[in-house]
Amino acid sequence: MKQNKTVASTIFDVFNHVFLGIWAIITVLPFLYVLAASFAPDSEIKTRTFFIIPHNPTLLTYKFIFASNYFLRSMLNSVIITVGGTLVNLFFTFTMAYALSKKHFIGRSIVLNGVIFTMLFGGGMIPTYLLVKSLGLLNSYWALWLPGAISPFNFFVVKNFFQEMPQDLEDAARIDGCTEAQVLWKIILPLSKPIIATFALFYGVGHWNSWFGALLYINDAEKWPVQLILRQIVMLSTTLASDLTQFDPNFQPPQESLKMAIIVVATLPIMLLYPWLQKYFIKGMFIGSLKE
Amino acid sequence: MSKTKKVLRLFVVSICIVGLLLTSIGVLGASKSKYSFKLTIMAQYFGTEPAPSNSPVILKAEQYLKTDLEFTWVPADGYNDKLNIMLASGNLPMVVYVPGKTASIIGACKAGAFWELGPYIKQYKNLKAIPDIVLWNSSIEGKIYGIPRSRTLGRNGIVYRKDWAKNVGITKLETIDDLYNMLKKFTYNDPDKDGKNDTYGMIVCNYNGPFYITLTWFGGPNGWGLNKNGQLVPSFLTNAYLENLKFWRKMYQEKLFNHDFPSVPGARWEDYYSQGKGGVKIDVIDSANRIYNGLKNNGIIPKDAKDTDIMDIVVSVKGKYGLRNLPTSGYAGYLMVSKTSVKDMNTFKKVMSILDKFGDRTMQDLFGYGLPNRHYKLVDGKIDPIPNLPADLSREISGLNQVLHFYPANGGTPRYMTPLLQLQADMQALNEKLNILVPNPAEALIGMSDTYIKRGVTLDNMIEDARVKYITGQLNDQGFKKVLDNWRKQGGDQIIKEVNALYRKYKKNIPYKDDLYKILN
Repeated sequence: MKQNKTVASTIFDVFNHVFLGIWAIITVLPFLYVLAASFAPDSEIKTRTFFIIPHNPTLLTYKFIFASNYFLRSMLNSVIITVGGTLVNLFFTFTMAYALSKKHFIGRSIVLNGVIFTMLFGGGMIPTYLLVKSLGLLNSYWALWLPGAISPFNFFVVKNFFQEMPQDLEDAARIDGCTEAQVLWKIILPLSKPIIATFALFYGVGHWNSWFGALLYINDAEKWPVQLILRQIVMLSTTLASDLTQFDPNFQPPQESLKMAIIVVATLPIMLLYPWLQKYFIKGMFIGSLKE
Repeated sequence: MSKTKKVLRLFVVSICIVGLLLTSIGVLGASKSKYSFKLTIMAQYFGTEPAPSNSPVILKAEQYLKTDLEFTWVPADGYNDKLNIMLASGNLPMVVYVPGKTASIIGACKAGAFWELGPYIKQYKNLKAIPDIVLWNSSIEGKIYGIPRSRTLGRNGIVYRKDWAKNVGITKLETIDDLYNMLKKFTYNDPDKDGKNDTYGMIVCNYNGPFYITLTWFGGPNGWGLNKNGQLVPSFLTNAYLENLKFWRKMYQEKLFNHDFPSVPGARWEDYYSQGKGGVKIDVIDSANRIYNGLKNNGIIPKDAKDTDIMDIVVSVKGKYGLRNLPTSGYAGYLMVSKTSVKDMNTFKKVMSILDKFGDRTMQDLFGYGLPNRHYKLVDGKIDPIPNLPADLSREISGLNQVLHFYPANGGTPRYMTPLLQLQADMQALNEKLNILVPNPAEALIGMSDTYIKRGVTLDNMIEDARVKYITGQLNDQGFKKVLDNWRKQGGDQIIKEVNALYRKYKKNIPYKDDLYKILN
């Protein structure tokens, strides 16, 4: 495919590449620094301002992290919370969206308006806590999964996606003897792979990065996700001097390099997930599956 | 179609697996009780992970107290959120660590969420050691709702590099002028002998502590003081405050400290000293040892340098008004007993007697340092913590010292001291011995002023902002005066009125004489 390019468009292309390249470098550099700093001893982090290659690389902080099974367990907790939570999210979002995408669903507009209402008004932290508590969900992961099981915004996107699906598909399936459930499972969902992958990623990243729910609802430190620990360490190493009165005089704040290493450990898994779902992503969130 | 079936099956199976995993975790988490009484405690912790419930240190403490201890650990930075939500839900454990007098805590105390301890506290052998000044400082509406966690009153002082002083030929540090002279030489006379102009007399950060320490040297009050008409006024309305501002501005203009101080976070403050960039720190005395360790770790000083050759400490320097110094409030947060889970007097007395036992030597040693030959060594009968413990050992004591109130003050086995640690302890004691600490009479009153509760933060920030601007030269005397007038108009006068009304009401409760907090300048 050879095109005759005008000079202007060549310049434009070059500019685009350079501009986007610089932009990419700007976004990647901080992460490279964090990665490098996690392999550097503390004295180096404090004496050098920015570096990509540590002078005296060391694995000490990683040894420290993996020496106690606490971090590994919190990583596992995060995986359970993320996988479980995403499955719960997808199940509820897609089933609800499918039912409500049908125009003949009785009471549809009432339910949809109810969903919109929740987008505008929330109960707030304390009432939500009281609800979770009275449902007996405290200290269980269901407390993290159920309160936000369906994101209203995502729900509307999925509902609209289902509405875009040609009616003929469904009719054909009916004629072949499919029940309602079978239509959804055998026809509609397989065609919705890109959008499933997209929302799996959205929900998954959300669960992976969330810490506040665990802080409020999970009292048992054995069940905490890695983000809560990461946050604690990052906050500790940036604590105010005035807070030092809270510490005993022999308190040593955690190592700077430990902070970096935990950031790396906590962000890598979810970053590695992205290339995996990339192929669905490229197909786009709103591209239909059927050419009419 | 088999493919979708597979997906479906995978979906169902994984939900089941997750469910199973969760229930199994739940089963494992259940513990059986060994004693007839169970005490639930909520506290914060600062380490990377809190102590597990099967930590040998906790088991040992349970044995000593004949009580089951059940801790709810909360990461320090999320503590206030968690506390507020537990308060609102009426779901508090028996003993709750409370970081400070926030509006929601004051409200909860008024509403009767916590037991009032005042009438009982003197009946317990360890708790009766709490000094009256600390009880008064920590009181809410004149009542005692919590056991304060002891901190040294005389914790502030001046820490400086002794080796630098030697290098620039300084032998005495007694007056404010001596200090100024030292800062100057530390800035311009190459005290680290590296041939570069790369040192500051002191490093300043966005924390205002040092400024308020020096304010007392100029005869200013600690927060609030008594003026000639017998009225309490805030420190920034005094002459001493202006004099102090001028002193700081002069130091700023002469570059005796770093010009980027408003943007230096408190957490990085000591790092500059550990890198050998600053020579004097006007702050908590115990920074001396941290700076010394930092200098050693960063290779700035030789590994075998004697600590007291590198660092030295004085409690304060003399101005026109003699030696004066700023104390701390003497406590850091409280342990409160909640009424929702401790319902009757008998249980309350039981809880109090257990909390009293937290002051026993056994408990102070256990929760302060752990177990002998595991977390610390005994050197001549003194405790010497083992440095750089492996993670699985250090976690066994993580956070436990947060539930100690440390009364009586020296109730535990003494700690083995390096010469510098000993110097720090001596200097902290000297602060109180010399009787130079200026108390803040409004410490317990300000939280009761309605206007302060509503607008205090905004008003404080106004002053703080003007303070920084004046030091950096963006504001002159007139501009500063304008800010003060503004402060008065926007609620300051009202706060002064309310604080003085409270002062008259509670004056008889104040456990020290009023000439201690007179404004001298």
